[in-house]
Amino acid sequence: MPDTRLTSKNSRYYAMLCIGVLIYAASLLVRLGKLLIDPSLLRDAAVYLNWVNSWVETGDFYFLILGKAPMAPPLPLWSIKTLMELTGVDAEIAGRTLSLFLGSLIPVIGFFFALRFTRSIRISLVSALLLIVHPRLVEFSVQPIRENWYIFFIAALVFVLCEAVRKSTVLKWGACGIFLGLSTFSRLEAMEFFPVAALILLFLVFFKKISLKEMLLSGIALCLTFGATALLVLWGIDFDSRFLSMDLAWNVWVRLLAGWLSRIHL
Amino acid sequence: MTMLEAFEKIPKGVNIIIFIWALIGLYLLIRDPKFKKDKYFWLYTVVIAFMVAWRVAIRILTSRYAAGLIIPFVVLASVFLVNSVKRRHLIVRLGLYVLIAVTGFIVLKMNLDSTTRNYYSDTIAEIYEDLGQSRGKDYTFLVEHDDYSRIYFLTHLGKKVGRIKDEEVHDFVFGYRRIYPDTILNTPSKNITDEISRLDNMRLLASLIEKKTSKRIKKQFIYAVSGHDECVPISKSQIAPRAENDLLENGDMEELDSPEESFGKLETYLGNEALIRAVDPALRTPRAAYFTFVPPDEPPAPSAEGAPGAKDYDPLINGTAILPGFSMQSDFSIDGDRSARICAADGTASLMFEKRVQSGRYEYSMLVQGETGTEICVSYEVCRADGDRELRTVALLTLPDKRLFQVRTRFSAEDLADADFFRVGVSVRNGEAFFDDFSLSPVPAEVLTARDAD
Repeated sequence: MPDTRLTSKNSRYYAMLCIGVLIYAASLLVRLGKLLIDPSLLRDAAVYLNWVNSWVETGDFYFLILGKAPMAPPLPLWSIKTLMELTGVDAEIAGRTLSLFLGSLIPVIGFFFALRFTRSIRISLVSALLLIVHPRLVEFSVQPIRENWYIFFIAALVFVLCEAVRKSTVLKWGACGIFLGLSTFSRLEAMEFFPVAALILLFLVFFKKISLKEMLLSGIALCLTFGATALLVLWGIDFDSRFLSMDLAWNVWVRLLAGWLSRIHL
Repeated sequence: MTMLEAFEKIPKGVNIIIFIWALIGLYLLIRDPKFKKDKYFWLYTVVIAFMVAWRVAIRILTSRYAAGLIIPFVVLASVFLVNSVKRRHLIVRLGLYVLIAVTGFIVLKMNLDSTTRNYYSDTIAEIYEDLGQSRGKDYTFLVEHDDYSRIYFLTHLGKKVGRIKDEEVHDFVFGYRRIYPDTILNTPSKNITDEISRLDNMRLLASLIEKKTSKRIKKQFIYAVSGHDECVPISKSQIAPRAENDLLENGDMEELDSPEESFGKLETYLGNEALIRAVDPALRTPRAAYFTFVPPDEPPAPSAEGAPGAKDYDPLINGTAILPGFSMQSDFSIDGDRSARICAADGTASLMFEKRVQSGRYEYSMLVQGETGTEICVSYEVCRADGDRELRTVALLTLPDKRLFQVRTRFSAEDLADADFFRVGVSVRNGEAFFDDFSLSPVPAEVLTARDAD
């Protein structure tokens, strides 16, 4: 049985980096293979690309939110549009490129999350392997759909949350807020991590890992960075569509909250 | 949708094999003394349980909503896989290796299945071919779901068509029943074909396609449904005189004159009965930017001047809209002196006739001749007094060659229900065509019934 324990801090760091790069390369290869075999577009992917095209050609995101597509995920559409404008590629190439990039990173984050969760490198490697070949993740990764953004950001969020649980700092909770904001603007379901974060903070106070003051500070940091991220995303959308930001922000927020609340049927 | 359905969607979203492995993995972790006393482990377990409960509470609509659970469940599944092969008897270990290999094979197969499951890659081409054969290859139809952005987008990209579910097929057929929906089913659905055949003004062109996929024969039924639309080649000697009861007085375009002289005449001539508009190719919806009539002494809009479709012609009517590439003039004759030429270099330009008529059945026809490959869209717009409008596509066809064609289509009473007035029109997409002899005539019910029987 080979010794998988990594002793030196530096060697451990480089070993982890190498493993991460290898996982990413393997993941990317599998996804590229899938794309070569089956380049078809899912229906929803076609819808998103259609919206992006409309947005690019009209410079108007407002009508998507208010009329045509009230549930349009702003962040994935905006990032596809931005890549299109920066590189001049069409919507499909831009969407697939971003999806491949983010989708291939998911097994890497999964590996580090498993390492934090189980503290076993063997389990983490098996997790990464399963995530590399997971049929649904592979399929998502080659399609320009919002799931890639959503899974990537919540995976990053969960990883940072784990870090914050082990050693809570305001900085880490602030990072959680950023990923929470990004994932919420990719898919509304990410709002579930608000109560999760609250639960974790209460847990940490209950087990005296942090003081009440630290809990409040951490919570405020999370909310502030979440708000800042949300405003940045809205500013990006607004910047392109040249609409009053407060008007758009108000509509987006109302819709997000209304959508969120309306779906709870306890 | 009940909460219990979430328990079906979650394993499906996570992958059923991994879901089972994860449950066993969780059980192993709970029993593991190292984790049993670890409060962090319990915190994570509670968080995962909360994520599951959240999805049950909000009643997830599809298995994709469970995508957020994939990573935690995969980690738990890995716990099972790693724990199952250590510190056990050789026989047990071998058995577990076999179990893992078999389930791993199933996961791999799922991956391959998802890769090869695109049975519809050549759908559009096959329907094209099928319709062409069924009508003697005189012309072909562009089969497309207009108004339905996703399919529209796919067909315009020339991309492979993704999976279409049974219930969506139903929506296509009944929601957009005048548009040649190609409906694709994995299994033949007699109910749908029966219902289609009962619909007024509909015709079913059914096609069975067998496709070999992963060493299995998949049968697909493809239904092309249309109204009584006809698009037949016609010679000039076959052109019938105008019907006495024709509601379009301006059906012949002879009144149109040369560009320099005719604008005022056209304005008077078309008056309030016609309008020309361009549909934004980006929106691909009836959210149109309307062309407005511009007095001839006003300079043409710069965008139209330099546009690819307009540069060869002197645009008779220029748009103040921002959309370039559209023109209309009348220097070519199909029948009589002059015909309308509609050119849309990049996008859609439409000519519509507005009629305030009583509800009833009508036949709408026109002569068309144009560049090979030009897309012609016959449509009508139901207008209400409160300003509400709804544009419906009747037929989409691509001109196969430069011959003269007669296009005929019919509107039923149901089509015009709730309309205070309506507009019939024709659009040109990505090309140019000449039109003449627009005609809108009431159709006696008995005639329609006789044709339906055919």
